[in-house]
Amino acid sequence: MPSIEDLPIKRKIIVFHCESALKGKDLENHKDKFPEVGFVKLSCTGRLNPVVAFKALVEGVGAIIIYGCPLNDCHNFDGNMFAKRRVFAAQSVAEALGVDPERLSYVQKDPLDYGVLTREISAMKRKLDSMGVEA
Amino acid sequence: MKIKKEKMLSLIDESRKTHVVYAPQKNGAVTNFKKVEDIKSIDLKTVRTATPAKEAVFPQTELIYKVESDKVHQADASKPAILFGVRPCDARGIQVLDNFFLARDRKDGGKQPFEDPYWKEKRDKTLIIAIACEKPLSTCACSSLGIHPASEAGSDILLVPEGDSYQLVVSTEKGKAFIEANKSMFEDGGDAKAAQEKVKKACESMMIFKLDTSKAGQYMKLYESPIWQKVSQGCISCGVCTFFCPTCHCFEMRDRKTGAVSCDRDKCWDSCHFTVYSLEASGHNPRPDVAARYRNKILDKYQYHMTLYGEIACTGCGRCSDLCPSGISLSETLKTLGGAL
Amino acid sequence: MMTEKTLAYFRKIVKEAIKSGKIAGFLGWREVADMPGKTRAFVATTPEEVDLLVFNSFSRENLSRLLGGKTFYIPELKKGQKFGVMVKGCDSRNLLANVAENKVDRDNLWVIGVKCPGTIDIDLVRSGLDSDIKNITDDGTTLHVEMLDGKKADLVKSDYYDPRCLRCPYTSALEVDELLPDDMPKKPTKNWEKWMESYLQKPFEERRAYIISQLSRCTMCFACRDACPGCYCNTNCIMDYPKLPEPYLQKGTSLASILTYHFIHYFHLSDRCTNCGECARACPESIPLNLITEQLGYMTKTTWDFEPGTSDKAKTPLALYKVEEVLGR
Repeated sequence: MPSIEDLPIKRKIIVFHCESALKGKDLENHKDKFPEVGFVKLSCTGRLNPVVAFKALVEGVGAIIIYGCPLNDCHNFDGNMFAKRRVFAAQSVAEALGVDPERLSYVQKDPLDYGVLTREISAMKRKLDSMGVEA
Repeated sequence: MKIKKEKMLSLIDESRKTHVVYAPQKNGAVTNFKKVEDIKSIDLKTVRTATPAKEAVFPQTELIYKVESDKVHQADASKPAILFGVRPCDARGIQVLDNFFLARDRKDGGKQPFEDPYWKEKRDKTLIIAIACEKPLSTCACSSLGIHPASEAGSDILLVPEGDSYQLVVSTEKGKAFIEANKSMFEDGGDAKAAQEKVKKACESMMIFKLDTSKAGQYMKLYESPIWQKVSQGCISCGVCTFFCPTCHCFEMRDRKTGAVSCDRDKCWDSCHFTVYSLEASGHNPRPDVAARYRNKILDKYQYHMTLYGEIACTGCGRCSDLCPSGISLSETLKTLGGAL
Repeated sequence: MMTEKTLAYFRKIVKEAIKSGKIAGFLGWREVADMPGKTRAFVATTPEEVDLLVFNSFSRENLSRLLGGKTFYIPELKKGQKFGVMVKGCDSRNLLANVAENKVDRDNLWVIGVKCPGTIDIDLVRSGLDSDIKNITDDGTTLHVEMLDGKKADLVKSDYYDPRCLRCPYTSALEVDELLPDDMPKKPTKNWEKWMESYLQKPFEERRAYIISQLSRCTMCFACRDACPGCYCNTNCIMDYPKLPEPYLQKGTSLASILTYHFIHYFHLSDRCTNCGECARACPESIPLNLITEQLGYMTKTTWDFEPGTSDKAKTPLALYKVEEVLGR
């Protein structure tokens, strides 16, 4: 009987970020701190098609974090607002289909809290450990 | 020649050591042909499986070869297999598919130009053990198509239930060899032909779905008629009728890139009902509407197959009418077409 | 189901509309002669053909899917003429949703609504019988079944409703031009939100194991996509074009492909699905897709207080955001 074990998960984490939220020195620092995490640049998080994220999740990626501009400060006016709702809908569909919705998360940049992405990546790592995911 | 029912099941269990056994097994609300892991899960009570038995010989997706820079790795050879518990309609379906896939002489004087090696390899290694039907479903119509509920067409061995045993009707050398190899399980006695007649009569008397096949081969006269719009009204081009038909055989070949210098070639089922089935690279689609695609399917089964091979490419299993989400009934279609001729 | 009186009234007004030239044709249901417990879509273009139109507990096809752009033969409309269609509660929501998305022109339609008392799941009836059905009639409270082996059975109708129909809050069709009177026995009703809450309280592991074991039967036939009134991309659907340079979407039946296809289908419908259940009914492998659609409906209602298809002007939640969300409140 097929089960979720037929879709093995690796410890890979991918961060889809918009080019305005994470750039220059900030991006380099994050890459140095987390060399095993993949960083994919988008023009705006509103451009992300959640199908891309879901397909990655069922094909082995452990967790996906989507990192966008602060709520009221999207570089492209309101792309991040649509992305937020879209990721929420994607989480609900993933849950209905049997894929753990906590493996997909949406994080807002906070100008008063520079550590928000670092904390999210560390939290995802702990989550993958608790799920028993090996290499 | 006959065999006790429990002995047949234990013989099948024994055969799992040398063969891959496919048999109907319940999975949720439906029964499907699946590889047998546990002999107790075989379900012979359900009259008709959802997917037809053709899937064991003609899989939904099948790897042909892998290419790695300049090396080609053919797919592994298939293992010897036994299809157990196939109904006469599905066994007949595999027999009809042989017309298309094997390079034999044709009725129209020509010869089938290409033999499908993937079909032939699986077919030669598969033993088909059919089982007669003791009761029909509302859409069963095999008797309209030249076979009947206890027909041995297409099978190597047919099991006809009689009390606590099965009577055997053996049709091929492959079937004979299987019985010879397991002689001790079988016993003499009983009249296989009489058992067949008895089961056939009892089952046929309950059938209500009638397919009018008397006009098969004449439907080309209706090619330009608007009657096709009428019979296909409500069709949503989903393709379920073709995927679940024992005699449908359209397939597609795909090359999928798997790395910088590697790719896979595989084949998978396709359906003439899909909107893009005949879409050409220029953007032109010779069958843009539902009526044209439905007409193509009916003519393919009840006209073209007859011209080429002398047989109707339909076994009367009734799945197309039962599973259609729009309630389109093959019986009604043939009746309407016959009335227009 | 309708009483004789309502059926006669319905046929009368449709015949008058056809005779006077108000409508070019009427899309409704008719019975299928040799398949008990089934109906199919039918366009009546003459008064004689109107006598074939019925509405009963087996009329399950969602007729609004045939108006949303799939090649369906609608007769040529003369200037000022309309096209008639009959809708139940769930169908009317899909019609409104398609009107809101500018897929269907409401001004061309003359819509007659029925107060649907629920539909019978014929496969549920068949699974409980020893022999398949020869004939089935419904008198409102009892199903009289005659089986192929000659035996007869009288079944309590309320045991055989489609379970989703029992939870449906839209028994009456919305925003129609003419609503037929309601004179049939009522079906028992349950609250769909409460049912969904209790379903979601089951541990995620249990729900996931069930849905994956059911989805593994999928043969990627796409009947669910074609039966859906909201899936109207037709020839432009991404699943039909896996011929990109590196085929992104595979039509094969590995579990990853199956889940990806279902994700795409239900994600595109996440805030537009009216839970009509046609996908679950069309599935030839009887996969319980309604578990997915009902969960999406619940999510849309509880998060954004939106029920798709209740208005022909409302924009769906994923096309909007609220000012409070921008300010983080």
